[in-house]
Amino acid sequence: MSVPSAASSNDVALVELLDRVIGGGVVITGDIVLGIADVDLVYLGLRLVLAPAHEVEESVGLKRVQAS
Amino acid sequence: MPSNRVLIHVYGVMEPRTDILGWPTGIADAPVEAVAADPIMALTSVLPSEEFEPAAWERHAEDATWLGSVAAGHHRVLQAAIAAGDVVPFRLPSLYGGLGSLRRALDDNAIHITQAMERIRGRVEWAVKVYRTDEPGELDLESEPVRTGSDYLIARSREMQARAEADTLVHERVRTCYERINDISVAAVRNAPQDPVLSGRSQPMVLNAAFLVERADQQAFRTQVERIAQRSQSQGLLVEASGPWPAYNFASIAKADAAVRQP
Repeated sequence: MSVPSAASSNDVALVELLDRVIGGGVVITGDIVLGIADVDLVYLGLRLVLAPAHEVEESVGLKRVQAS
Repeated sequence: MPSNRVLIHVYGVMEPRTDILGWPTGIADAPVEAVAADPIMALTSVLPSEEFEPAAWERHAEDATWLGSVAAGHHRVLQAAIAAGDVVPFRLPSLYGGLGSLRRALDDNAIHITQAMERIRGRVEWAVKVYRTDEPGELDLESEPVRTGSDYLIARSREMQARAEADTLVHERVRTCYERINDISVAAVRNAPQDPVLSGRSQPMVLNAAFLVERADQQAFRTQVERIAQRSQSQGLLVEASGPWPAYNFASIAKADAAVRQP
């Protein structure tokens, strides 16, 4: 069980924040609004940045399963 | 060559108020400035164009530190805004080349903004995520005598069937969770579960939902989620809630319409 907490910017995971601030919100077209492709690029970039750390965790998880 | 173009970022819009001087700074520590566009006001910051022009976003696309700090600045302002009143969040980034084009964009979209304002009035967003904690391990061939190829195939197919049944059960339990939480919300959306690569968690996410909740119902909402979380624990589900968030998932027209269509 988790105790819900206020979503202050200090304790919110980056992915959670980006999911909302980039994935949500009103899009009102102005003259310099980033296109969808640019936003996708940001996501793609983030995946590349964060992937190695996760792969490490995954291999640790695999070892745990094998040992049990 | 220094650029002297003005770049204005919009955090969101809300009904006019006079207390924003005391608010925290936004992106790049820029102060928040109100731009009146009757009957609303836009929460804005003037940003250095060379640091925030579209090319800069491309340059920083793989820079988690830069993105994180910009996203946190955007969210910080909106968090101050929902503590003060109702706010329609804009997507990050929403950049305009000057006051003239910003006012024009707000005018052109006045109807959409008013509709979004009506939808979120007196309401905030809560997030509920469900993780699966009972993920079955690899096929355990040592628990049964496996002598021949057909022994293996029988064991394998039994395992596959058990796994499919477990998946169906989880799917049903998650849907029940979602519907029971939805009972005390105004609207709900199910987003795609976050990729484990991004969430950084080994437990697979099976529900990534957002709920639009009346401010007055928040305590009841939390109580309901905690009750469901307790019950789900023994069913191999970890339920987590966070909020209140600005209504990021209910500001855009298309998404909110989809939410209304949900059963």
